[in-house]
Amino acid sequence: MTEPQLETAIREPSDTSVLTLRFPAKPEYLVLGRLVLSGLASAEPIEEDALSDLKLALTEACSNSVRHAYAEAGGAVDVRYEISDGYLAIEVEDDGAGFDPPRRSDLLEPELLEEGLGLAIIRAVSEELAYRPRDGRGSSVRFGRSLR
Amino acid sequence: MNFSVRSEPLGESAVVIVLTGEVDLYTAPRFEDELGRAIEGGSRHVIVDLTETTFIDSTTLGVIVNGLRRLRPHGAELMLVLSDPNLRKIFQITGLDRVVPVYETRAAALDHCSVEA
Repeated sequence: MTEPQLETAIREPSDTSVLTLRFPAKPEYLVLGRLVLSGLASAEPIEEDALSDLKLALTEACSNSVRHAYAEAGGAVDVRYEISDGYLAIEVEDDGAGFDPPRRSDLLEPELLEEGLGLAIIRAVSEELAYRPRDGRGSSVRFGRSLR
Repeated sequence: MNFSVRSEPLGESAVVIVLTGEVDLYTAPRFEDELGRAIEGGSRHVIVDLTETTFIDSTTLGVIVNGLRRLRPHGAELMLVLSDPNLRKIFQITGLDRVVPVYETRAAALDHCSVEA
């Protein structure tokens, strides 16, 4: 069983602050990713709507890892927070089977559902989004937005 | 986790489901169960009150969409009470705010469905 882990580091020579979180790929741990963001907001000036957007995007990314990555086998979700010059980039990685597949619904916007609802929501609230399956195993999603 | 859900019946045909705290993949099943009980109990007006809710995600939307699907064939309705613009954003992104009626206050929702509080 993966134990939740939280680490911080200042990477030289840039002024990028890096914080990493690893937690078991289980729904009950999703709140940890948001709690870290709340903690960052007490140390960095983050506007309320930016914090809200980042919590939503992070939860969508981590939820996809929890839902689809490992099936019954279990595993870990790795979150990397990088703060630099008023911008926060977040990368969520897992070693599992892949991202949320497209869903079908006549009640939601069809364009949104083509790439999967989770990714579409992340795209809508972020200034950057990169999703890639990692070589043969797992996936990585990176997104970010300015904090002010 | 900071989450609770409670139902407040309004007469025989309406119910207000109040969600407090954060709704995500972990807590949404409790919302889904409560909504399911309201639907199975024959409620014709289901009001989901998000005034005390601090976070929702696509899992929450999924529960709401499934509730709509179950209610509509019976001529029943589901409404949202929601005033926080940050929470409203996910409904705007997905277009769900054009599918489900959203009211800023519970009183406004009750006015719409003509239920005495």
